[in-house]
Amino acid sequence: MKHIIFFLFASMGLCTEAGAADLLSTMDKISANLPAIIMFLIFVLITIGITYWAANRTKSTNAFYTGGSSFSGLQNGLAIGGDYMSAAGLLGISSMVYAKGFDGLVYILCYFAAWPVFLFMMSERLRNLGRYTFADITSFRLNESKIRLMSAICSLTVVCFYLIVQMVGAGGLIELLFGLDYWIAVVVVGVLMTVYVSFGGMIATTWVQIIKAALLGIGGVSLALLSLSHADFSFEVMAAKAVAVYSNGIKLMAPGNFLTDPVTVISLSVGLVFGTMGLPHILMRFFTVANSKEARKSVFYATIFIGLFFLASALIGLGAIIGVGTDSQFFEGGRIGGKIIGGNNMIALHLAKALGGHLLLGFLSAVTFATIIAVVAGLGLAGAANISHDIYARVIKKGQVTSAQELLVSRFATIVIGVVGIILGIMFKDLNLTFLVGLAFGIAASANFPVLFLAMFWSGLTTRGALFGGLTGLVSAVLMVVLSKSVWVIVLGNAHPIFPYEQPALFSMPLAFIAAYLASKFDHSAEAEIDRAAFFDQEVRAQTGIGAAGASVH
Amino acid sequence: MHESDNVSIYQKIRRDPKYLELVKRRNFFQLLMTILVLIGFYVFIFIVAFQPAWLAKPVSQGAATSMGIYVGVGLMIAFWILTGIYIYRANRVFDVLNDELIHNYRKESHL
Repeated sequence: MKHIIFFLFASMGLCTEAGAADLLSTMDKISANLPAIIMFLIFVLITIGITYWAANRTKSTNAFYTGGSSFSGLQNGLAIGGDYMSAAGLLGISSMVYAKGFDGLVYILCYFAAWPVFLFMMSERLRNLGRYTFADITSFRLNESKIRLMSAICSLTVVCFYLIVQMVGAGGLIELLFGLDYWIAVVVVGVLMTVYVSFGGMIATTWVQIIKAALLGIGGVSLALLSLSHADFSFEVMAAKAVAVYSNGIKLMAPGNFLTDPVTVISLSVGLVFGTMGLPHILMRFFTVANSKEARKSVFYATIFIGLFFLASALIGLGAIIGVGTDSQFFEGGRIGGKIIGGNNMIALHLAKALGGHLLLGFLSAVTFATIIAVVAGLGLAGAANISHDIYARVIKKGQVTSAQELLVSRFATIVIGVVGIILGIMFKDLNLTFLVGLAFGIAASANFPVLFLAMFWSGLTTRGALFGGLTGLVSAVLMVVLSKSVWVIVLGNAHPIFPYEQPALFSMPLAFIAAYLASKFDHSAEAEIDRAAFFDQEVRAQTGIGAAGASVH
Repeated sequence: MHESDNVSIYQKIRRDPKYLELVKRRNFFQLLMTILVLIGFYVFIFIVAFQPAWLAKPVSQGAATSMGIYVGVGLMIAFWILTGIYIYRANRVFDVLNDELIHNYRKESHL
């Protein structure tokens, strides 16, 4: 059961598997690292160049938060894919399929199913109602100070947890791949993120994301095709080969190697599907395009990229059973079936070495590093927007602030987030942080999503209802994770968990909806009447786009 | 463009039968597509949770590939097709109706 969070964790881009030293001593360090380092430096040079170019275009808050809403649906679709496919989408899913077979496909479907729903229900409305952050939408017709503050805090919490996990994962992974010291890796990630975001804002962040998504896609798909080519491009041949050498034989192709508890399976699916629709850095991407039509296109393209990428990751996992699982050079002490060098999350990289040599390994390592930085940049920008736009400009200053002042605060906020990320990343190096990804998705599904959904779809939602719903979701998700095994037992050292499941969303999300519903129903204040009445004008804007923030030409 | 201009336009549009018709049709379509995806997805998840043996069967005698692979990948392809249908219909039908509607109010809203 404890592995469930580990895989979730792993699949979001993090691996803090022990064994870094073993890898370094075993791997042929210089020859393996040189191509990776060169390719990574090329990536850094190009993206710094883009940031320099973008900085000249980032002279207003609008440019900083949305890139002037001038990205096309295809560009934004790639960038959304980039935000969603973190390093270990590739590493986590492939290692899950490698170790547990079919259950990896269940994960893929959980990640994937969110996107069509996102497209049908949310994409156009989000674009028509919001401007910079999703708190624009939750506070659209409700008491702005209260709801915006709540949404900004929930959003920052998600960003913060996600960021820490990325930082710690990045440090460990880069230590393995490049032979850099852990703290140097964390500082490099934090500094690059701060440079991209504070100078280049959304324009630089989006281009970094697009480049990285393209590289990750190319790397993933070519490795998948390479492993298929060893099976005459027949899935059945490949599957038969894998089953023949898999420790559990034909069970590879059946569910239940890993997902054994029905409640956990369902709660996981709820958390991943609805949590995706509450991730602040993803929601922010909807405002980078000109109108609802482009927003719709973005999600359409993102759905295609994300699906293909995850399927490629699964094929890599299957290929690794054949190509890595039978090759003693990838096992500690050369014992096949023992511990994989660097941990299971390394199998995609091992397969790259097995099938494509040092050059492909170097390419994939560089892409992994780039991926982590791009995801961290997206998170940093979302967090900075929460601080400068939501909290500073709208709540504290009530909108009485110039674009230049707000821009200055957002740049400062980015630096703070970068520094905090570096410090926490180094501080938490040796802690088991697996619960943080579950928590980030749990809060996104239980605090952000219900309030956002009800604000857009239910005229009865009042300010009080939104506050009760959001806070119930936040508190219950945090409590359930703290009382679950991954924190209560593993981190705090108690004997038995108080909350029996690892995934809170199945319970905390309905609780949030119920709290929002009841608090709204029993809200007879004068403010509540205004809140409800304002829904109908909001609905016209959501449906038609009249009054929606437009694109600026730059 | 002023917020107050928009508000008065919103109130007119709210009573426009063309708007009401558009909203009704589009909401129904969006809901239908969402329900199709969620039913497909949760039937799959519930089978994984409660009847995993159904997915473990090989697709043919002696094959390594299981039914589950076909069902899982098939679902993904079905979702892709649904998103394609949605985009097609949104572009061809709803955007046209929406543009017509906005056109009627364009002068007033200074769009």
